[in-house]
Amino acid sequence: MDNTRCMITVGVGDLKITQAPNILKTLLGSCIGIVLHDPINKVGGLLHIMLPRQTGSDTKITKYADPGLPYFISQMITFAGASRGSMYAKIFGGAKMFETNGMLNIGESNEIEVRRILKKEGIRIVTSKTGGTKGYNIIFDTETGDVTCRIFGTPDVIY
Amino acid sequence: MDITNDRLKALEIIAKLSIDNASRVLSKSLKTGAKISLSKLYVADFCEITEKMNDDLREMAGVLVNFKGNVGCQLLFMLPLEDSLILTDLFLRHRIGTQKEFDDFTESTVQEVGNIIASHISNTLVSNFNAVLVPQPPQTYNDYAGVIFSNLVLEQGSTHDKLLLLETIFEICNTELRCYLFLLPELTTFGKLLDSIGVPP
Amino acid sequence: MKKILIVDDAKVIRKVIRQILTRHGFYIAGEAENGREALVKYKELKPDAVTMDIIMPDVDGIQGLKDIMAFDKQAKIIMVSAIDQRDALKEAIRHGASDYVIKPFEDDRMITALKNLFGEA
Repeated sequence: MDNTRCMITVGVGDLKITQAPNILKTLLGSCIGIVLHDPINKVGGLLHIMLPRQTGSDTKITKYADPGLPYFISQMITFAGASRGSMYAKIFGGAKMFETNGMLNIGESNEIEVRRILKKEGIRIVTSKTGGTKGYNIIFDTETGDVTCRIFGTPDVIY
Repeated sequence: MDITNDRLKALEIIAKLSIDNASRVLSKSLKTGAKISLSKLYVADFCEITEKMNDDLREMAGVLVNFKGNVGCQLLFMLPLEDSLILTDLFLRHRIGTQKEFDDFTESTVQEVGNIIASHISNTLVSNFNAVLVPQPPQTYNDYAGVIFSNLVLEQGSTHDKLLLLETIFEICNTELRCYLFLLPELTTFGKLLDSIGVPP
Repeated sequence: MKKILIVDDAKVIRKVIRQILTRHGFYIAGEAENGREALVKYKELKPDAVTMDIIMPDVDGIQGLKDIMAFDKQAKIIMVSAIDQRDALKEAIRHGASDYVIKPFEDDRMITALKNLFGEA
């Protein structure tokens, strides 16, 4: 790998935006990872949301699709130099991880909310891989826009 | 997260008492010693800890246990997938190397070891501190370490940015096995327990 | 040969109990994974005794105990659990459990518990 590239890990409920050619990566279970890429302005970001909507007021908004995802989009445009017209999205994760307690089907709820917001914001989803019952290891190359996705127990697939 | 040093210290003592009991129980289950090689209680930033764990791509077998009662807590017991085969052999009193692949029995062994540890931890809290605490049926996982860990912290992480985490590593004597045990106490309910035993806020 | 129904959600525990009991001359009538299945199997297999876990999904062991005792007042049920708490013990005794074995258990403890049921210890 090119020594000038940084590998940046994104935690749960976190957002990282970077210039090409850096790499953004994360692990996803029921959470959804949203990749935004602007190939013209060479900037990309990865948001790792855990819940569809914010209910309280005292925690990080990037934990939630709403308002985290609109915030992500505005940060890409306002501070990272991306253009709404050239941006596209890829989404991953949303696995079914829980059989009991209140987190049942949270993966599905997360995906529905993410898709709703991206549609409302006019950002095209060019590809997605969601669902299942195993974790996702995703690696986003901000140079090419490729996302290498390895679902636990299966080979790498490039999206 | 607002917690005084006195309360942290008290929680650490309570947690370590429970973990000591868990290690004795683990030894008895496996008919071999289970040595605690690390046990620490700390306040973790939710995003930072999950960022660190998201770099952990080891394939693990894990079991998550929620508890029902007047004290909120979650427990995660996990170990590398290949080590769960050894754990199965120990549990079934087979020669090590008998279990060749991860199957229903391996998953069930990890589940049961988690259940036994969780039950004995709750037994300690009930008998020593008058808590009302019973484990729920465990949830098993076979996945990346970081994903399994996220499942542990997800519920509390949804409403808190800081988490109180107890991390313990067990080494199983006469083997290369290392098992990880995480306890995630819910601070408000544990605060009430500390109130009841006279630890000042 | 006495017929035993083994009830536990953990396959490995069912195997361990099966091996212990078989080695000591008991016959395994069947297995169940929760309290609901336990009642169905009890009615179908008419075992001489039951080993019953407590923490199980769907219907737990205490409910399973109550249901089987409601069906058969003479049922012999040994609770087998890692829960070693006064309330759980009281609940089990109150609803007719014949014994209570704490996990992890020694083979002897399980066998003595069963033999006691049949006056053989």
